[in-house]
Amino acid sequence: MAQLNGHWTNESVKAFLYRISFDFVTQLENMMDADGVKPNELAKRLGVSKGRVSQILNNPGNLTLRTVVEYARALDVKVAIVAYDDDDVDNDNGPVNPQIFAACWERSGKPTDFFSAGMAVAVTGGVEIDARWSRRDVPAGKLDPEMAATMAQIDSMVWQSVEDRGENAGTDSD
Amino acid sequence: MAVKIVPIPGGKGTAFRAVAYVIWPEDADVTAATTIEKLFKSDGGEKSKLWSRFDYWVDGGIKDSYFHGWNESGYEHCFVFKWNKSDKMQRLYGVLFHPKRHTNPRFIVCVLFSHCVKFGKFTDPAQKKKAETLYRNANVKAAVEKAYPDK
Repeated sequence: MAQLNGHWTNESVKAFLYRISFDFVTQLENMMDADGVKPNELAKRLGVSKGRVSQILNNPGNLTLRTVVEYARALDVKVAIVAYDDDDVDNDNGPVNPQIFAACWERSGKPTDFFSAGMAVAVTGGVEIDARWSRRDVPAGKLDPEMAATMAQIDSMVWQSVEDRGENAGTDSD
Repeated sequence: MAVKIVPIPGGKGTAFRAVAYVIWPEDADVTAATTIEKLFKSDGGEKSKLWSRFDYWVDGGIKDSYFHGWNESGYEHCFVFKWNKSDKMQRLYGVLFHPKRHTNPRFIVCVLFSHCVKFGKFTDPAQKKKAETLYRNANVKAAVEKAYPDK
């Protein structure tokens, strides 16, 4: 047997690309099934042949970002490119399926900005905290001391501002 | 040669699911090993297509056009992974086992045993019967329990 460390997508960028493209078209197919959209209908919306749609769905290895956007928009959905750290540096488990990200996002109430996602705090008429200072999930004891001090300082500014403004002050979002 | 169960190379495993294949040279119906080992050594899209399906099932995905089992009485332990190559319907048939009944009863391993090209609409009943025969085979069961110990 060929030797390979970890997940099969470690073999090449091409293999990794295939997997994430496969996951994307699987998402599309699931949406098409749910909405009763047949490949010929999707082809019509895209202005391409049914054969081209079948080719993309059956052999997604050469998807371009343009095609990804075109196909998503043709199904009235959007697409994001997400970088993430799943603590699997050697890639023993392969990519995380995008349906998992989508499910988590939906369960979080579909936030569409850093404020509603709880990553940034805005104070009415006062201090606005830039999303650069968003909180991150950092394991206990691993937070950079300088970052921890900066975050504590910002927290202090925010809550001082809230207290100064009394009842009329509050957070737009938490 | 004794029956041997081998986890899919480069495959993903979770606390709930895994894919493996059986090596049993004495049984002419057990053909999956050759296909899997040959495909794994290749670098074509066919491998990516099949291994992506393995991952999707292991992750808990549901998609009948990629894989499915049977609710049909008597064939509950048969499972199939499906893909096309040059317009031919490729099929890898497997058997579902729950080898960790005490420590992790929800864990399922799909042990692939047969590769064939499907013709026509319906699954060859011989494949489904073979899956059930293997499920009840003491040697296969012991090999699965050795590969996935209940501890």
